[in-house]
Amino acid sequence: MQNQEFLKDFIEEAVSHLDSLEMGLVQMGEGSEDPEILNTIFRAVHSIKGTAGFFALKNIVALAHAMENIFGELKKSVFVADQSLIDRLLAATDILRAMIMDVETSDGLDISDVLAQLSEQQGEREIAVPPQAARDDESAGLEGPPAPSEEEAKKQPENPKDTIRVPVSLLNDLLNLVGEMVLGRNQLLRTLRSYRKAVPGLSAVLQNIDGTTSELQDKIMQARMQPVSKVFDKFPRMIRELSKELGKDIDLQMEGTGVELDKSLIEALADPLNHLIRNAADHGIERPDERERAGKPKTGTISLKASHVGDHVTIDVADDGAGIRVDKIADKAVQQGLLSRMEAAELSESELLNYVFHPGLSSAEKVTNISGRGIGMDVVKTNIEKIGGAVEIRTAQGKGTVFHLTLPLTLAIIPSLIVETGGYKFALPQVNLQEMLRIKPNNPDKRFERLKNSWVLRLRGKLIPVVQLADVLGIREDSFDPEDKVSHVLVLKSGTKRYGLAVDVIHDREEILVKSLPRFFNRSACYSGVTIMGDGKTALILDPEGIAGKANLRFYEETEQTAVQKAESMDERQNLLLFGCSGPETLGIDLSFVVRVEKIDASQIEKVGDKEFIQFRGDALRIIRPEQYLPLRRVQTDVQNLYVIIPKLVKHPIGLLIEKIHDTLVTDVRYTGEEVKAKGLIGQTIIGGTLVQLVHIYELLEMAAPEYYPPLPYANKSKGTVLLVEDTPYFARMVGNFLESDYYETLLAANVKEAWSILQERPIDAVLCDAQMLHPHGAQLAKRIRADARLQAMPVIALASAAGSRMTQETMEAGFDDVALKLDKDRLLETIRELLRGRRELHEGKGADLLSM
Amino acid sequence: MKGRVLTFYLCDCLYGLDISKVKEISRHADFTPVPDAPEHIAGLLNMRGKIVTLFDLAKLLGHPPADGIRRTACIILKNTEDEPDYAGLLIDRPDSVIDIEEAFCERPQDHLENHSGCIREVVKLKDRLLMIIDPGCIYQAG
Repeated sequence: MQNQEFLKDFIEEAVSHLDSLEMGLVQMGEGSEDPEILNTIFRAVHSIKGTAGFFALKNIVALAHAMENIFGELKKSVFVADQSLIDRLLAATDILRAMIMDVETSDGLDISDVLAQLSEQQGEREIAVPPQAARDDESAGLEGPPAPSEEEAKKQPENPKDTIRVPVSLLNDLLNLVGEMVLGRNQLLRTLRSYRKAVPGLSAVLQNIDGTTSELQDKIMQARMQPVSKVFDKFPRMIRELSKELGKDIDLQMEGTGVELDKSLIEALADPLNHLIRNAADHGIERPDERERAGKPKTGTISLKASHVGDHVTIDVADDGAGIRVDKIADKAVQQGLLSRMEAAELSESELLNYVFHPGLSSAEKVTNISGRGIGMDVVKTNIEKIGGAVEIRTAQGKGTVFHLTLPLTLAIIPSLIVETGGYKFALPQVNLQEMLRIKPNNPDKRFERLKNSWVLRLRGKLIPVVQLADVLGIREDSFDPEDKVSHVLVLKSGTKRYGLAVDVIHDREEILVKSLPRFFNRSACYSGVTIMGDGKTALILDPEGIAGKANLRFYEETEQTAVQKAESMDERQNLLLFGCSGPETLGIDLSFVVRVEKIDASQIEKVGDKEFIQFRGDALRIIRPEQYLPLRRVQTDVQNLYVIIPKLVKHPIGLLIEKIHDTLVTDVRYTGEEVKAKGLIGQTIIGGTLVQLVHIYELLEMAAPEYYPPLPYANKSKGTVLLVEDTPYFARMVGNFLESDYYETLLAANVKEAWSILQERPIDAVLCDAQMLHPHGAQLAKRIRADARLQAMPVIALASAAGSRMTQETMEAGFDDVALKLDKDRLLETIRELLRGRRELHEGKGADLLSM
Repeated sequence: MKGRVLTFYLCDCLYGLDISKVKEISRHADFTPVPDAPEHIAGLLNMRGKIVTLFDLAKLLGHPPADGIRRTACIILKNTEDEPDYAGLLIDRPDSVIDIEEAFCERPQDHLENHSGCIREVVKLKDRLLMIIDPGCIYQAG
């Protein structure tokens, strides 16, 4: 029946109108007076009314009509929307939604109450049009809206992009077919490889098929992408209602709503995020009186931030509330018998925090009906892990808590490592993989040891449990043999624990198309899905969490953690390259400073005088050995395989000659207590129990090649005071160093609030603000500065961490004067000098009146 | 039942399946065994991009394991809204499609107990017995 089809389309369309209606009402409730919001919600109910009239859904029409009338009055400013009206309109929206979700029975519903409530506002005016009249109004289908709204309805903007609705099942079929096509292409290329030369023109044809197929696959994947706002948009209203219910002032800030994810992931995110936000409102944010006592603003902030990081998406749910009391978690875990007192005392803070995710463990003081029944947190974790993501918690007493979710862009295609055990091939999602090790017998640093009838691996001074995949899957039994030749071990992350999984062979990395595991395998814990390999054969996708569970792993305390100083601030994560020179120390450098790492052979190094060079891309590249300048041990080695790190953004490229690449990893850098006074080092941190010296690349280059990087002429007095607003300690030190080297006095603020209070107290000449914090805080800061008569002439510079960030309309409008790259010392300092010079000229009377523009 | 039945041989017995439940027959299914799978699952098969779970029907029916036989012929069942995952059955060889009449059918006798309730009815053909398999028992086994 065709009508059914139309009806389905109507519901789908109406739901998106309802969403924007709800969003608009919440924004109005927050005091927004943007006329566009009113226009949007007016159009939304108007469209619902029109289409519902077409289907003769009289109740929906009547309610939409009543709402439309109110919006009409609001537009004409007959009265203003107070909170109680907004509440009534939201309640009406709910009823409208309920009717639309169940159109068949909608006319059986009694909506006189809600209509009466809506008409209260109108005083004398009768607005609840009898359904019949409404019908007549709309009988022509979509035309004939009530007179006052005629032109409003016409204003409905044309969709800028021509769109078409496609059933998801069709997209899924396309995805399957294109997956098959990719396999077909692979086979074709393999089969015809040897004929490429023999058949004229074949090469070009194959290349064409190859490229087109890949592109087709990409496009189909893109067709399934949706913005996270799909999920986020529900939260403003939820927070509004929770605030009332809990008697708290809560402000919800959302960032990165345009970030796109695969449809299936968007759907899977709704519940976990919902729970995390409720949790933040309920347990995170304190009551206004408590906040005041603690010297915090009365209004608590929950922020929801999505961003793209490489090939995945991160979502942070943060609150500036009380933080999680780790001791309470420990008590609860002990009460529940999950831990003994002894064990609890030995666990590190982050390990204890993870008990939050334990079923039946709620940290709420008292059970409320919002959260605190101990259901949910464990579900959050399992749901996120089910879609290939991970959750981490960071908390600071009295400052707040961040739940950091890392998600793949798409469920369907994930980069994996193909491994083999006992003749079976498996795919392991790379998101779970931390490193790959070859364990040779008799290596004291990396070796298997037997501990209480299970095996552990000693890795960089720590013990991690290790299992043989073949044993877990029952292919073999007890296949560990420490005297064995060489073992391949994958270090996997399962939740926050690490363990080693030994396999027979490690094959290539492959982008695999994930298919769901048939339900017949529900009891096989070790698999999370199936894929089809290049040869057309199926392979199971391994589930690290399930394997750890099935193997009953015992995790050992990684006690070195306690040496890490407790982080005072919640910082961003950094992508570090860990490496070693000839000595035993481990060094680290932020990968954003690195163009590439080149593998070279010792024989390629040429000496000219006391300097060393290699041939790199047709040029002689000067190389330096960091241990000659930094306080590191120097050891004579005759290692043949060396590496050269080529730094980014330097005027005169100089490579760093190093001997070992240990790892690249994403981590929070927390500096250990004592300041490092050595030139060329930013500080030190502990990663995985190892002390890592973080290299200050530019200082090192200045030491090594003073002829290229002359020290700045000595100026006796400070050039001025710069306020640096930056929440990543690493960059704060780095940029602070730059500024001090150019004789600026630097004040550091870790957030906008701090920055603002410093601006009130101290004379500042220029502000540098981390662009990561731009939305919305940095922009607010710039706006506030521009709005303040005393500060409006002060240069404000946005600091970007990625090249290619340019001054955009948006940053201009927010009031920033310029955008500079964090890592480009020379340009950054040049920008500050320019702006300060410009400002001095203005001050000297040239066009001081231009400032008010 | 009444209608068309696909008949096939397995362990020297003649079995049948309602043809309307069958998607296709493959004589050489290149399937991949799966370790740590339920014991009556033989492995997984790629059917033009769709994943099919192959069941060891002989094991399900209670036939003793025969050494050295690796079956590759299989019948793939249609999927339904309730059972979206494709299931397939390993057999020795397909035979033919025949029409059966209600009159020849009877409930399975007790001596078929060892077929673990997978036999829906028995059809008396001219020269032998045909056992009709109830596909439901496969889904329950999974």
